[in-house]
Amino acid sequence: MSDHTHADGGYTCQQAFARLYEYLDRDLSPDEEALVERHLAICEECTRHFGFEKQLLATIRERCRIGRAPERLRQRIAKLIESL
Amino acid sequence: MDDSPEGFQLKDDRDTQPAAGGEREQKREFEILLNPLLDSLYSAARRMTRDRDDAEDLVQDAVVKAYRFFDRFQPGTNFKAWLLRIMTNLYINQYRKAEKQGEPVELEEGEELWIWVKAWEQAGINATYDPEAAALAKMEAAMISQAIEALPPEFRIVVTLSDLEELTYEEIGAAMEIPIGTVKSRLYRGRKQVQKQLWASLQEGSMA
Repeated sequence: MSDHTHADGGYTCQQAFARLYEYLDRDLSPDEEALVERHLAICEECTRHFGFEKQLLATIRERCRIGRAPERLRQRIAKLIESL
Repeated sequence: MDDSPEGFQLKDDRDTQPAAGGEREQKREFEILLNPLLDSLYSAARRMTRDRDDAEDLVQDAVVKAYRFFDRFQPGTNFKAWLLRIMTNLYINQYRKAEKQGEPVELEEGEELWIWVKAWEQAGINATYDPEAAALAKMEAAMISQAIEALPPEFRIVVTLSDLEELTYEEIGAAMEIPIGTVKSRLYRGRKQVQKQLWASLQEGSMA
């Protein structure tokens, strides 16, 4: 990993990468989020890597969800609620 | 979801049947909220239990419990997270004991994520294509399911709730009764393990 440092005290590549998932999961404070974005704006490699990790998570979500609950289960649950 | 001082307690012996008068109305209200989420509940249950029949039983048990505690649900908060919390709680307390997993497995924590690094190592710095995009394109649903299901339960639950059901760290921590720091560390290690497994499957695929 190359390391872009900022004269103005912004994040380095490593500091940005350490916050990768918190950034993608929208768990950073607005200040930290802005710092990550400031780094991404000047670092092509991190932008590409962050983009890949985001796309990978989206791919996992899209391709791995089990579609509909079986009709049999839906019917059983409707009856179950009726009997409660 | 529940800010009462004693927290959210699920006790089997608790009797929280709604008052007879509003019972029908309460059932309808419950069903209106529940029905659109059954697919999510079933999907998460399949990932957790790795078995169709166990998943159906788990969903049913969760529905019964959710109905009994429906008066504790705060309207306007995330009903999906609330349901998944009840289901996760049941799974951890009952089903995992039956699975006899033994001691919790600790996955290693590494510096780097996996597929990005490996894809670029393999392609070389002067690659004329995007190795990471090529890896993504070859990822099949079965490979991904297999990678998630191979995780030890503590990690599988966190990855399922986060990456498939999109719960927040806070909601996952509440569902599993673990601190947010633990959620983050399990999620990081679980995701990395999924990447390792996916990369291995991609290599097998390309050699076949």
